[in-house]
Amino acid sequence: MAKTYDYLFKLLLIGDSGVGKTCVLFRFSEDAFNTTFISTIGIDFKIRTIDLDGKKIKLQIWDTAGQERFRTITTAYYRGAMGIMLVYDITNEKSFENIKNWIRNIEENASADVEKMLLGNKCELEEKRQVSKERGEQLAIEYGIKFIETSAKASIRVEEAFFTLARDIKAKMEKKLEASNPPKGGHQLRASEPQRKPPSWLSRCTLL
Amino acid sequence: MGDIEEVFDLFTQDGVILKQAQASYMQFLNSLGTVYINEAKTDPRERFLEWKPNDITVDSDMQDQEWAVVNTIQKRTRTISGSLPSDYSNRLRSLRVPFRDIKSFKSSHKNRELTVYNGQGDTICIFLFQTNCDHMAGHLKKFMKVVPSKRDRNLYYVQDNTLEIQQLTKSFAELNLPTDDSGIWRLVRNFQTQPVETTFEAFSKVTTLMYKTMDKKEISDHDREALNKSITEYGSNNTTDFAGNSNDYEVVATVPELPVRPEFPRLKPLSQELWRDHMDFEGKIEDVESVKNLIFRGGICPSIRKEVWKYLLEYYPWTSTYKERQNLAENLKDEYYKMKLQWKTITKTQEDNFSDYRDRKSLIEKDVNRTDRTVEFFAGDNNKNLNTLFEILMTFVMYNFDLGYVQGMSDLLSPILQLVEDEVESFWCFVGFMKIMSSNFDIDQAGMKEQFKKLQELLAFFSPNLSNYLNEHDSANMFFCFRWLLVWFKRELSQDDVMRFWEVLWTGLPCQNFHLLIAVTILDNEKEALMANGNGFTEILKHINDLSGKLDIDTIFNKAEGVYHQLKNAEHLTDNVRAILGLPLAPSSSNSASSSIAREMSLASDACASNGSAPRCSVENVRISPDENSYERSISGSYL
Ligand SMILES: Nc1nc2c(ncn2[C@@H]2O[C@H](COP(=O)(O)OP(=O)(O)O)[C@@H](O)[C@H]2O)c(=O)[nH]1
Ligand SMILES: [Mg+2]
Repeated sequence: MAKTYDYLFKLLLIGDSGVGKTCVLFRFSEDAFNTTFISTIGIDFKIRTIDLDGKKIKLQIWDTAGQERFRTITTAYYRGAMGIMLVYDITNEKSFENIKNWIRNIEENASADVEKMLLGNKCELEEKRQVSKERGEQLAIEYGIKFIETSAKASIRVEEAFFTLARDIKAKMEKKLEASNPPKGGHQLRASEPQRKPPSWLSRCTLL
Repeated sequence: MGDIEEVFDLFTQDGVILKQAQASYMQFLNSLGTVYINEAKTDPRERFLEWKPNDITVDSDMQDQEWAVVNTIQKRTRTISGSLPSDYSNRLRSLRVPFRDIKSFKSSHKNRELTVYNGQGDTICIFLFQTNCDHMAGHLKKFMKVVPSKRDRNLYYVQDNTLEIQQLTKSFAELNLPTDDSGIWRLVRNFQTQPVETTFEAFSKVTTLMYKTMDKKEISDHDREALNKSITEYGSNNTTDFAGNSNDYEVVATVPELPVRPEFPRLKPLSQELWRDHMDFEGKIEDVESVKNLIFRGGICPSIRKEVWKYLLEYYPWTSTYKERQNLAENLKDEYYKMKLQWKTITKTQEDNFSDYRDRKSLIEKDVNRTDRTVEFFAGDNNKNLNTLFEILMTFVMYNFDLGYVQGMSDLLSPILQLVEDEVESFWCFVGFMKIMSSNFDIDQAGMKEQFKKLQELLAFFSPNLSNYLNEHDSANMFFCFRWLLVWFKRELSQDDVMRFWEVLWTGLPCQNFHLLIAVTILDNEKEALMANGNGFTEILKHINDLSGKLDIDTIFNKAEGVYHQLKNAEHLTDNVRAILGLPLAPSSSNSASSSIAREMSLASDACASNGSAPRCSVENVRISPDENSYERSISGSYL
């Protein structure tokens, strides 16, 4: 079988409804922006494979519906996520304030060592800005995570955001692998996550 | 064991309800208590799984939903050595199971239930956890040497003792049970006439057969798995009990066949002539049922759709006269504008001080801009129809502030507004639709969860293979159907098809929850693709999401109605499914207990007789219990 990728990372986009999660994802997966987009109902994901330091990394990025009410359903899909993009809208104060709640939500539902990143989207709308860049940076420091301002519409730093997150996950994973698995031939990815049943991303991580 | 002994707790968990145990524990069934893993300082040390009832034992919420079965059969067949010392039963206070008696255990119902087996197909006890049994199961795994089952990742065998199980299994698997009309299968049939007498005769013969064929070859993993299947899969997903509790039946069988599916080709849509024919001189609709039937069979002609929808959505009563409708319309118009004025006249300060209102408003603003913008009616910048959409939804917030606005509602309104056009009439039609759909938008999602459960039960009955597959692949919760159910397939169909689709569902024919049968039908159509390549929840979700735009509603309606008739006429139809579809429950006459045993036995007999590959069957499928009826009627509690 042809080797199509080395690693599969499951990522998640969360944040209030309307902050632009679906648009960010669409920008990243199709490099396009569509103003006639429909709101997300339930959950879906898109795939894009990227090259990182000579490794092919398949990103499986999950997009969720934002409204509070649907969280019991959407959190079911947090399981196995390795990276989470927390998205707010820089023109919407409330969506920024809610990031705290989303982080709590992650703590309750995702694995503890999930890699997180804060995105302030719609950054091309400077004239409507309600949340300064400094506040975004400050919040990120508080939580010890990275921060980037993006625009799905103007295609600003969306690529960078995903690459950064993917790189951090990769580094973390490789570190873990080394720790638990002193140099030996071949990958032994199993060791990286003690689970009863390896999740699907893991079983496909092995070299094909 | 009645002596005072030194025992210390290795693990305890409270909030645990005893769901099933031997008959002597009947008084404690459904009681709330605490489970312990205890160690007695005997030599050698002995460990127990123990359950003690709390002093106050009421949990009405649970009791109403759940069922209880007293495991009376154990007394007649094999007793579990040691699990219930006789002196204990006199002053029963706690249920105590020595570790050595536990041969396997299994978590089910989203890990809310823990079932402990004695390795002979008998359930020792079932616990229902108010939270979940993860910790408990974790500790059992720690304290006993266990291996997970390959088929069911929620089932664990206690390893030291598995040999006995294996041998017993093999003996069954290898039985060359006669397929002719002689031997035990004649006995089986005699159940129908003399259930009790025949039971005992059968027991002795089956047992004899069983022991004769013991001690043969090595037991393969596969056979062990087969036993596992017999205990567990039947429990989680089968034809007699979708609640997943039927461990006291152990019929391993090919699934009973459903009747042949009849065809229901779509008919012509309700025409203007026919519609007028049904209206009397005052404008009342005569023979509403026949009108609904026509709509159910063929939908509505576009030329009169706008008018007929107002009846289907209860804006107009079917039997209203022209005059009454005129008055009604005027009153409702007044009422609408009153409500609209309320939010229209809200001041900036009021709004600033009213966050619940602001939240609803901002959600609507965002969603209106993302609703059906590719449909011409809503396309383009500054489209006035978007504004109408907004105003209706805002007015709905004033109409039902508690429900407010939830994502998905704009999707439900959009086809109505597009067709009806008039703002006021659209609003009231939307109100009618929301009467049907509002539980989908419950704050705690209870309505959606309830539907997932029902869908799961229907699928388990209609398409057990697929249902099993989903259970084994992280998809038992049916969440992948969320979008389908939330907005009644709106996102899967074109705007035209949505209209044709909803009007059929609005007739309420041919049964309750027909939309769930639609879902079952589509899932069944996609069975092969869904089960291909060991698809997991990711692939399953993807496949379902990708069906959007590919569904042919006419063939789906045709089949779904056929599915309904197959279910309705299935001999093994359960009251569970009847309840979901709103069919009358089976009469519970005094002899129904024995007749349902006869039915079970004949299923077992059919299965063993018709299936050449490793027939398995055990005495446990014969159960004579006064709880038979309550058992059959039971619906397990919400486990989502
Ligand atoms: N100006 C601007 N608008 C955006 C941007 N990203 C998304 N939007 C708009 O914000 C709205 C919500 O976007 P969506 O991706 O559906 O949000 P989601 O609910 O978080 O998925 C849509 O109307 C988008 O057109 C952006 O970067 N800039
Ligand atoms: Mg979205």
